[in-house]
Amino acid sequence: MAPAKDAVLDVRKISKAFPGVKALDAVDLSLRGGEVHALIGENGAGKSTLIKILAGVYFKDEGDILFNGSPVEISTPSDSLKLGIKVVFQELSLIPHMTVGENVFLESFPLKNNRTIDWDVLYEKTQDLLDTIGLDITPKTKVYKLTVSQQQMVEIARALSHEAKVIIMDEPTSALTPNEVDHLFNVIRKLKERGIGILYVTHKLEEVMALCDRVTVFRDGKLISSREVSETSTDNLVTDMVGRSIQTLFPRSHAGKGDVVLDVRSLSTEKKLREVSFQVRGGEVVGIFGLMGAGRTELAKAMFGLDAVQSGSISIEGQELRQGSTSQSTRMGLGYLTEDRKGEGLVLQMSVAQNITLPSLEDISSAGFIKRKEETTRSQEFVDAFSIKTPSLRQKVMYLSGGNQQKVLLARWLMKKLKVIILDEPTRGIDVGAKAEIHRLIDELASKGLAIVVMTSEMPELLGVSDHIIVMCDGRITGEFSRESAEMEKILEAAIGQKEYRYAEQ
Amino acid sequence: MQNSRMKGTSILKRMFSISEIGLLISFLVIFIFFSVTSKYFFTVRNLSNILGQVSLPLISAVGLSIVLFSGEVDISIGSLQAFVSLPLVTIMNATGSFALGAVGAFAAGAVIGVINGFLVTRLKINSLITTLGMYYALRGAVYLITGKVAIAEHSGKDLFFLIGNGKLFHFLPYPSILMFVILLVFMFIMKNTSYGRRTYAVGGSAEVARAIGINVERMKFSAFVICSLLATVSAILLASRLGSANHLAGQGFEFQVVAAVVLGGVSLSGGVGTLLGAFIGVLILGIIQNGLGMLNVSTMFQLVITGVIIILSVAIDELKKRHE
Amino acid sequence: MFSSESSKGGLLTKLVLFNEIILVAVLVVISAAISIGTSQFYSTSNILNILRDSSMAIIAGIGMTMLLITGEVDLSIGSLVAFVGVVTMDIINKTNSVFLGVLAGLGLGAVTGLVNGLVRTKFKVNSLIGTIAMMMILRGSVYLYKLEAVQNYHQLETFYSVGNGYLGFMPIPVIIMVVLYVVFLVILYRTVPGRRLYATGGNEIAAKISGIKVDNLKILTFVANSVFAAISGIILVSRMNSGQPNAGVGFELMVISGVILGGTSLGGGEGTLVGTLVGLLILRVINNGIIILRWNQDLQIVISGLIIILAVYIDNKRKVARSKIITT
Repeated sequence: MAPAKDAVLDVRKISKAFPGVKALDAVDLSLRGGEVHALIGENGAGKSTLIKILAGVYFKDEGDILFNGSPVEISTPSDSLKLGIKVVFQELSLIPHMTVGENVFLESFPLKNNRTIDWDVLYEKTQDLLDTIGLDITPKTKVYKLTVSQQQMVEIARALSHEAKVIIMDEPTSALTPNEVDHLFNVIRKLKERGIGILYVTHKLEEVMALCDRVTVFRDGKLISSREVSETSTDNLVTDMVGRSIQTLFPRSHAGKGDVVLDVRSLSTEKKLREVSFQVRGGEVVGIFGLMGAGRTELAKAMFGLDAVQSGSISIEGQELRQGSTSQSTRMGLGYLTEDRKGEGLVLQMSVAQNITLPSLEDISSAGFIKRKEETTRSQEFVDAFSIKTPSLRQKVMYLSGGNQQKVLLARWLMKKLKVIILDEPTRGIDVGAKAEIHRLIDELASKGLAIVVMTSEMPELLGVSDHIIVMCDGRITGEFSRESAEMEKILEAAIGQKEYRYAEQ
Repeated sequence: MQNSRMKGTSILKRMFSISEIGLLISFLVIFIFFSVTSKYFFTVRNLSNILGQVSLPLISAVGLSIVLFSGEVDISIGSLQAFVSLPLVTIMNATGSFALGAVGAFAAGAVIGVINGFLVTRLKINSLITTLGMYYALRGAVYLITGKVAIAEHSGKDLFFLIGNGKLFHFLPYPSILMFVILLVFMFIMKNTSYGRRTYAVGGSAEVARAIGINVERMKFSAFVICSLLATVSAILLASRLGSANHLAGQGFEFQVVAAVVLGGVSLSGGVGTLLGAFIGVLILGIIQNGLGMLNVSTMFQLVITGVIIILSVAIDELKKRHE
Repeated sequence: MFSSESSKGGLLTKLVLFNEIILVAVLVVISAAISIGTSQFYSTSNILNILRDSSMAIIAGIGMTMLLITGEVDLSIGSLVAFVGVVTMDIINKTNSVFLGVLAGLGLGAVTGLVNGLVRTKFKVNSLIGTIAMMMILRGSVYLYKLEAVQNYHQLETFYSVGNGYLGFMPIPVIIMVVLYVVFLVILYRTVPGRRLYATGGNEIAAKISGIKVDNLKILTFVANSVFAAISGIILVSRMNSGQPNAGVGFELMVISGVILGGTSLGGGEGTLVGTLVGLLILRVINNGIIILRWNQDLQIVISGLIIILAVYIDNKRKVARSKIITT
């Protein structure tokens, strides 16, 4: 692959190996100033390794990096920053208890007479940056008070705060709502005009097609293709990424609907939820959609007993749930797969088998003693059924990839005889291949009669997976659609709060 | 932009945050309580004593707080006090010079700070364990060197005596002047310099700070050295008060200081808290002990009450946080 | 073994990965070094002495290990040991019944643990601070209760034998320790509550979502920890033949040091009783060695401090090396 002319960043034959795995195998990539270049590939393809090398977090084993035509060495984060390479990572890199302004200027504070921080200048400049991005918060807000989406925007503001020549964005829209995604795209287009080169790493192929100029595909640490976006299609890209073509991302084999399993009535919480009511039947998948602040996760937590409820009721198969008792929720057959799988879902130091069996310990024990053999057999069943890639059942889950970790969480819930399961962003940050598998699993679960609630911010997933769609805005339900009557525009209108749509059950 | 309005309120806001105001109110309430219930409390002499008493823990609290802000902890400061008083007194006795003794003390303190910093940042040993080990090692070393006998200071230096016991205008104890100077200087540094803000960043999230290019190791290292040096200042003042290098000096000191700064809002997990808050925390514990003494409450009962107050205040603080 | 994962290796690899191997090696080396210095070390009577002297710390270590696994800590056990000793002795004196005295002591332990647990779970006070405060409260209280040591009036045989008696050639404290140790070894590794302790310390929210009653579990663990400390306190008062208000100073730090030395993580979710046993034995063997080598006793404190730092350093290195092998 010949390096493009006027490339600001040129990566040639970079290789990097870790014990036991070759993360990058002689890959090339060139980024021109003023272009948006997408980098896509499945998990483990090598994308984040390359980013970390460019950010100075890892050091390359072989290969060259050229900046504006001259070879450079990047061995520490400072080297990378000095060159003008800014990375906005997927894991948020903000200091929670510091203000937005402090976070934005943490790398280099504006100083008065070279000694003390000039706070006025700092906050003015921060306000300007926030206005540019269209983020409506005061710069003195402490970051921990912001939602995940707002924090991501602050990260982007920070990347813009200094003379950036290259901005690398790793899954920037994973926590953003469609509105914010639009804002972001506008900002990116402005950056293009300034001649900044943008490396855009994502799983969302529709974004690649909508925003980017060129797209490079990695697979298994190797460079597969690098093309102009205008000369390719989503199908081609998927084939490149996966090495095989994927027919449908949204298998649907379940059809029947049973009785009402989950009945939520006029649920209200102190902070957010207002009279939320809906029903989920056995064998049905209900998708819940909403913008930032709509209250989806609050709803999930309230249903599960993690948050206090002011009024209203939640019933499973007619039996009302006592508020605030998570153990009762589990006993009554309610499962909850959290949005934040590492922080709230998995016990990272425990093994695959231990994580899978965690809520079901009573089922595999007698007189308080855990039956090891049964634990092994039952977990192995799931590992086989879900194709969870792990060297052994005893492997600590912290060493698994994101997709496999998610499967472990799903297995955990399915091991319990569940009646209802709430999945909060089940495929966030997971590559195309694993996504499809998880959707297939959801479909399978539904055909077994489980009542499923899927909360998602990805429109294609919402439309593809749900039998029934609920839209939330500001803690209220503003839209209900059946699978057939759902339309993107109407869903968005309901999500913004512009209109309310109620469709009767068919 | 409402610039002028921002500037006006922001000065007040820059000085006190909401949690500090809460602390201040608690302090005032307790202060008024003792002033009313004991006729000896609100006297010039007693208030002057209080200032003198709190200056020692406060000076160390400044250093400990900085270490806590950076995300680490140092529980060796009590043993350090006993240890550095050895070169202080022996050199003073031998050379008759307070200055040389002080230099010796600071050198020892600096070395301890460097060792702590090295073990934590270079060898990556957990700081609670490192300073726990030092807590033992230094105390044991003091026992060994002194044979558990205090070394009296007999160079008769007036300056040495004065620095711990003298008062300015018969009211302001010299240690308290030192305390105010140190407090103000470091408050300014922590609030308004890159070094200060980055220390908080390092404690807030070391990985993030590192990714931004901040030298996390160097910042933590410097925090340990500062903490040890400030603890040395306290040690010198203590030795001046005791008139000797005492092998029992500083026992339990580290826990008192930790409790006091936590009371003042400094978080044990790093990145949160202010020196002003720590100051008020130390002050509160100080007047409680003093006030209870004035009311003739036995020291043992004081201990019990102090423990209860710590639990209550932290509990109330947690309650407030959850309401935010 | 209990806390290492399997890998495709033979026995040697398994051995190297065995968490506690370094510690056992350290223990062996130190013991060997001491026995070179004096032949007294390897005598049966000395070894039994070591075991008996360690029994208090190890018993307390069982409770502390479980508490640390859940992610909490308790610095009040030293003061508790003193309080329990004084109260037990006093009640025995007043009622002439060992049973009542022991009951009172254990009861005091249970109540303290309950308070610690409630302060942590209901008041949400960080356990480090909460138990430092409790340490102050208990220490002040014991002196308010009795300013001087409480002598043993009745000299009851049963009471004496708790700390000083033998069953055959085994000192009774050692038997108590072994029984408790084995029972809790099984509980920690084979039972549901044991698994739940690890989950609670590893990821509290995940544990809650999995239906574990985290608060209740923590309170229970605090109570267990304090009861274990109370048992140590009762053994101690029997050994000293009087209840001393100033007993137990520094005990909590010694126990915590030994537990951490043994590989239990301060952050929770990790730790083994085997490690705790070896860690505490190392500290006690050092102490014993210094005594029989007739070195200055204060050296013990210095060496303990250095050993803790060194052992954790070595353990860190080993953990890093181990994680590199696993990712293969």
